[in-house]
Amino acid sequence: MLNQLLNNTILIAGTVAFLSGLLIAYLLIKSSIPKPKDKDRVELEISHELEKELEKVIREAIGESSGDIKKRIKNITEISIDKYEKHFKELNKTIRKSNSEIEKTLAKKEKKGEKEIEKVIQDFTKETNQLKDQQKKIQNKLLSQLEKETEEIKRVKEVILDKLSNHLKEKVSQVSETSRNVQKEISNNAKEQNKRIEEASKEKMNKLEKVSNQTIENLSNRSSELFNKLTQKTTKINKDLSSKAINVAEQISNRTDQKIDNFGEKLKNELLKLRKEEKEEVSKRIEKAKQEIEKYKEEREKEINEKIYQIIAKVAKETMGKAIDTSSHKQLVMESLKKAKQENFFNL
Amino acid sequence: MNTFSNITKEITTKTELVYFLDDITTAQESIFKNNGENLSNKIKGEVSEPFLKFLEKKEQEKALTSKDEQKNFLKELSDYLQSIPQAKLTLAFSPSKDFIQEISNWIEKEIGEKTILNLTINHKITGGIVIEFKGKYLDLSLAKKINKSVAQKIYE
Repeated sequence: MLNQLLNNTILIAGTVAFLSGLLIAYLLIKSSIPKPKDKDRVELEISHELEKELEKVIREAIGESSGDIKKRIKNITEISIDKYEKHFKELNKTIRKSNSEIEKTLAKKEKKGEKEIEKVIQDFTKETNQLKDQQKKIQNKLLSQLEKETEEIKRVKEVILDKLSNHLKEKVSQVSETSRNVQKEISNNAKEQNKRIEEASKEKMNKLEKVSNQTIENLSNRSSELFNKLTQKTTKINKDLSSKAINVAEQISNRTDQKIDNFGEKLKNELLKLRKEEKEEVSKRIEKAKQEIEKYKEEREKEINEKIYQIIAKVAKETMGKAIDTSSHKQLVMESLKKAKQENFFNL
Repeated sequence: MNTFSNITKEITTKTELVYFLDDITTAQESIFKNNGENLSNKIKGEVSEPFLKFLEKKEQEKALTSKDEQKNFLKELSDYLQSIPQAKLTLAFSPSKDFIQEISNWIEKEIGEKTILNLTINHKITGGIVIEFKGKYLDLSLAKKINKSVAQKIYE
């Protein structure tokens, strides 16, 4: 769009420059022409008109060009505005769409988050169990290893002892066989040697025992260290997991509490509303019942009055009817007829 | 005063009018019986005395010589009698003939024309009169007055 505008501007500028150049050229040509002589007058007058015409043409050309260019700029501007407006509308649509999608995604994520928390707890529990199992396995392995090593040491010790005893036996038998003559010396020597050997063997035994004890101690220390390290790590992991689990549990508990509180509040409001409605309904019914009772009362009063009135009227009529004699009847009839006349009853 | 004024003096109530119209019917049915005999002779003993006298008087005036004259006369009489206005009066007692005549005279005087009284006795009206005349109704009974005054007293 900007390129298009730039191109148009360049085009306009070019056109204006071209026309300006044309005008300048014309003016230069005009100034360079010498003033006409008398004999060239007619021709020059014609040239003057031509010159005017030319000027007019140039001005019109400039005017038309600038008019066209203005129109084109206007058109381009309008098109650009329309396009930008469309573009902005589309952008707005896209933003709205994105917002709704983000809202949906957020809602989904919120749900997903809850599920993930549950999953994390499950995973943590699973991992903790796995770690415990691993720890047990390692402990068992180490113990079995220790047992094996101890057995190995014992076996080595026995082997050494066996070898030594065999060696001694051999020596003794050799000494007894080869030097019976110098039995005493030999026996002394043998005894001494035996003693030495015994001492040596004792020493060796002690050394071996020391070595084995040290090895056992080292192994024990090492296993203890490993065990301690493992215990520490496990404790740390357990602590971390516990703290995380506690946090998660607290969060869940808080959320649940909040939801329960909200639900409770809503329930309370609903109950209050229902109670209010019921109260209003009961009041309305009471009012209606009162009105009905009042109406019934009025009707009954009316009926009773009517009956009383009928009874009284009947009694009065009967009493009067019996009491009136013929002359009074006649008089009443004539009076009634006169009254009818007064009321213009007979007039049509 | 028309041709039938004299005879109408004899008719005051609707009962009398019905009897009279019956007499006319009897006369009309007797016109063509026993040729050569007067109509009055033909119906003697079958009609009321006033009607017979009225007919004899007309025969003396030579107004009923031909059968056609008799027929036309009776027809005109019947039509006239049926065209007389009627007033329905309800009374609480049985009036005497004189009192009925008194009422008839009074009404004729006040209205200015002959009126047949259609009388009904109803003790429930206690006294006074209830009148129905030419589509109009007026209750001037004592019962109505009693009802009104009792109602007023009760609802005061």
